[in-house]
Amino acid sequence: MSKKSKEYLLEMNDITVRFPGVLALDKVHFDMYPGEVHALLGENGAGKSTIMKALAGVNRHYEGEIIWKGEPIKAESIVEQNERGISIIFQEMNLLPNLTVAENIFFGRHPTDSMGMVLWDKMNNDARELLDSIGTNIREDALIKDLTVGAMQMVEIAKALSFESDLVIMDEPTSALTNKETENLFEVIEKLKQRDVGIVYISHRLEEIDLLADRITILRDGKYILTEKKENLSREDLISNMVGREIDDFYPRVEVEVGDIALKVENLNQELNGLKDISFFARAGETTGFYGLMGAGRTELMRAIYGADHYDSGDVYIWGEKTNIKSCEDGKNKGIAFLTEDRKTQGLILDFSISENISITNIDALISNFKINLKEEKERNQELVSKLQVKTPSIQQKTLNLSGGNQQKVVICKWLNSDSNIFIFDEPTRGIDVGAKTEIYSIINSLKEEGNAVIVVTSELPELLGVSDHIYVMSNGRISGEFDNDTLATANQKSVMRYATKEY
Amino acid sequence: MATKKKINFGDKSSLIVLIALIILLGLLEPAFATVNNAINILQQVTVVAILALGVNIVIFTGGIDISVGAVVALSGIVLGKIVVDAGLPMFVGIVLSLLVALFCGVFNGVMISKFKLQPMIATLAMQSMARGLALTIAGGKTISGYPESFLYLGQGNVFGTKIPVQIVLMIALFIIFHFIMRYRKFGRYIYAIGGNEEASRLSGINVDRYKILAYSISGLMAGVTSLVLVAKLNSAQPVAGLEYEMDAIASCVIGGSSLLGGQGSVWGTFIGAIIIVIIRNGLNLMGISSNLQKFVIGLVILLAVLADSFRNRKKLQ
Ligand SMILES: Nc1ncnc2c1ncn2[C@@H]1O[C@H](COP(=O)(O)OP(=O)(O)OP(=O)(O)O)[C@@H](O)[C@H]1O
Ligand SMILES: [Mg+2]
Repeated sequence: MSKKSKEYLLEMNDITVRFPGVLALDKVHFDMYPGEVHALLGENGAGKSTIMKALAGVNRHYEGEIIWKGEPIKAESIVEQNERGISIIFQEMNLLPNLTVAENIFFGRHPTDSMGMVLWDKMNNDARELLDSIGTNIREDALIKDLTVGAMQMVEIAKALSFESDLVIMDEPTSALTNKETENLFEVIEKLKQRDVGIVYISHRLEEIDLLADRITILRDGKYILTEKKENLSREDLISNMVGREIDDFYPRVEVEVGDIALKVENLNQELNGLKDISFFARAGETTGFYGLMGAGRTELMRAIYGADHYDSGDVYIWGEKTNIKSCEDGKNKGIAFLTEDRKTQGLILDFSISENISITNIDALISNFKINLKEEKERNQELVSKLQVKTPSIQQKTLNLSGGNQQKVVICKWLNSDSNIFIFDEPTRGIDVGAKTEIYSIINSLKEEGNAVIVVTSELPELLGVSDHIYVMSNGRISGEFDNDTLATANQKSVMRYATKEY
Repeated sequence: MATKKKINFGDKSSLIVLIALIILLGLLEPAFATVNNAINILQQVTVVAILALGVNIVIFTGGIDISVGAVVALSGIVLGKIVVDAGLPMFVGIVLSLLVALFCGVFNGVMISKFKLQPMIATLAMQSMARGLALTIAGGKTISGYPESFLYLGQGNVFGTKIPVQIVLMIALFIIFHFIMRYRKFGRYIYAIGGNEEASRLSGINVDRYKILAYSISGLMAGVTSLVLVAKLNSAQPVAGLEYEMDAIASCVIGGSSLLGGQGSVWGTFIGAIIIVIIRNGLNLMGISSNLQKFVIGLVILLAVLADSFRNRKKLQ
């Protein structure tokens, strides 16, 4: 925190936001000093994104008072707030897919000459500098649609920094980043602090909060709970204030008798994404964890197995039978569920209700007398939604209107609803709060107990070590290491990272 | 917006426009608001509405079909050639002309899903091909002289009543389509594909198959439209159906279907079709030339699309 002043950079008082059927914020308070990192915490749907969207000028329909540098203001539009010195990295990516990285960063603010012609070189150079400053080698002339989710996140960050604001809001900036990129971001944050820039930091990763935060504000169910210096709050205090109860067993374990090999892959090669000679298996009654740094090829491997992309050679066996999966439809019919990495573009039909999104994987089960039984659909899906505690006034709510974490829960419900027996979860807990994570780990456990095979692809080491019975590590498109029954005990952060950084 | 799916926004606003139009015209011209005139208007709606019904399915997927007007002409000419010129039985003519229309749709669908052509381009090409074939086969002439039993479809009443057969056919088709779109897997999948094609594919939906089906239905409905039209006029013309695709697309958009796909309803399109016909009717009564009418209809489409894009923009907030 800046020593020179105790004056607020920002004060927000009695902020209230309503949506039909939802009181998203109820007289919430938030304030910022210059040069501090202020963590905003709370469960999925607590209202974190909502209050920051109000501040960023995205949602004009808020009640309450915003005082910026001592002056009361009305946050009317995002452009206006940018000019005032407030910028935001959105939780859900907001880039234009058909434009380049540089064009996205400077969208609407292209540098021009006196004739009004766009100075492309200057724009690209400025973009390059920004990208370098956050330590990424994404090309400034690449199209957004060709980037991975993580790379898009880096572009969002570069964009937010390009405004040279006094306050930068970061809504779950690291949820799609690799460790290296996360470290780079932390360095950037450190530099911003030195320039007296204030940072609002939203994250469900409590380790990051430990590392970064000066102060912490907690919201629960749209209500203000507290603001405290980080030193005054233990991890337990944090969790119990967020969740409203204590969590003692974060990674619940169950012992399940291991069954047959459900999925076996032999010598799979895919030129396009550089997958080389991949062989592995996943057994029923076990959770098989896949770890790797970004670009290691985990997602690409899973996509190929499920039928989303073609592979060049190799054999895939499902329950011992050699199969030739050519499309996602084949993959699903073979009993594979594939929870994709990006919920917004690959997981959900945002205009569909929660219920319709869940049904889509298993409509046949709802058909009687040649028609979809709408009543049964409602009951069945309501059950799933309650089980995963999706926060919503009704299952008829459009998924567009859900908070990020709740959208993720709907994607999980959708695949639980399918008749699958091999579950591939690519980053299942991305954006999910601490309480709900434990809930999801128990769901994975019950899938195991019911005799399914579960594959969890994760970038979080504690999660990998917490849930897996069998671990594969990937690097550069190859399997670089394995921990099976005999060696699982030797798996720890260090040994896993050694494999993950193996060079080929 | 917390929406109840059953009454979607599109439906409601188009219904309001329709009621407003009826009240307005009823006040200006008392003869307008009579049962006879209602039947009269519905009779004029049938062609546009049945055509729009098929196009609507394509629009739900996020695509567009501008070939339907020309397909109406082609399948009409096929019917005329077979029944009038070759003297084959009526049912042979009906089946073959429907098959031709269906084939045009399948062709569109395959080009768009398998060969990844832009829907606008693929169906523009089909429009030109179908029209060209119709003109060539007919040799520029109209083909008249069909059996009474067939003309009944376009001109007769359900026996013992004053209800025209074509209206019954139209309403039956709408009920069937409503059922399919709301209660069948097909309907769900079509909306899903329009909402998010990639997510649909990753959910295990065979997107290509359903897109081909959508265009096929659009083609087939153009065939049905053609039957009604020929029966109404007792003639098949190579220039029939000119620019009908405009009215069909306009009906969908006015009825609340989004050109981005994934949104809209079958009944909305019905209302949209009625609105289009009433506007045309009104313009006729006011003595406005058909050239200027084109301008007005264009303007109405523009407004409807603007309203749609406004709705979408609001949603992104
Ligand atoms: N446009 C909207 N329409 C209706 N309800 C909404 C809308 N946007 C948000 N909500 C609701 O407001 C509440 C707060 O959502 P918000 O996105 O702020 O949560 P969050 O704290 O950011 O959660 P997460 O950790 O999952 O991102 C949720 O219950 C959500 O369903
Ligand atoms: Mg959020």
